[in-house]
Amino acid sequence: MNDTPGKFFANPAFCEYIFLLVEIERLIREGRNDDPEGEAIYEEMDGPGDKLDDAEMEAVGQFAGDLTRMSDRYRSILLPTEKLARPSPDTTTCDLAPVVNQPMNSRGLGQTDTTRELIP
Amino acid sequence: MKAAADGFPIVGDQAKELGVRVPPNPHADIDVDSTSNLVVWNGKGMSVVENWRLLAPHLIPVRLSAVVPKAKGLGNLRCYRLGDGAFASGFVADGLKLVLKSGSTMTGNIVPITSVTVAEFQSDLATTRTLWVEDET
Repeated sequence: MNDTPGKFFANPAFCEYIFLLVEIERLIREGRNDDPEGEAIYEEMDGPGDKLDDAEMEAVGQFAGDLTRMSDRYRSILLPTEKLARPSPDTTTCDLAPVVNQPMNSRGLGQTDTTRELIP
Repeated sequence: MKAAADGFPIVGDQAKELGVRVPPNPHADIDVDSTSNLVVWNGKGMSVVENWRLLAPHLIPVRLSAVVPKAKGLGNLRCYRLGDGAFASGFVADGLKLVLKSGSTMTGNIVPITSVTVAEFQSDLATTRTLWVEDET
């Protein structure tokens, strides 16, 4: 994925959609995506979702598909176990550090698997 | 969209209903001229795509994730198709036409053909209710 100014992670709408997608994935895994919290997130996703171009929409679709295809073990390592901090709407930066750092944290805790074990 | 007991879409002005969200809804689909109370003719309207598989992840029911892995939407949503014509700008139904979104051939909005009030636009959309066919193939 190539970042260009104002697109992908330089697009606040893209960052917000990814943030909400991770949140809804957490609720789906907990079987709570159709409770009021989940419905509120779904409605909120309409806003940034409408501001994505075709390439960005394809990217979030691929990311969502990856979330589905991940083995539970890989998901537990890659995704944060706690709610993420919402990206700031006032900036074009996107703090997904918890997602990025989660594998490193897991490695530090001795929770790593071999590559073969991580493949669904 | 959300389905009613008869299987056709629920008509309304909320998310995932057959209709448009209007101001002051923060996620309004259309703009309304505060003086004339007419729908502003700027290409905004009810969002549609060429094929349900092109919908955003949160709009495809998660029960379809075995078919389309990106599906993350509410399980009770259904995907509908309106007509069999080509997905191109033009007439859709009485009072309604399709306008493609800028730079896209696969996404668009259903908008009024002429200047109408919000109530007239919602009514025209509601009239299409039984023309929507469930299509999740």
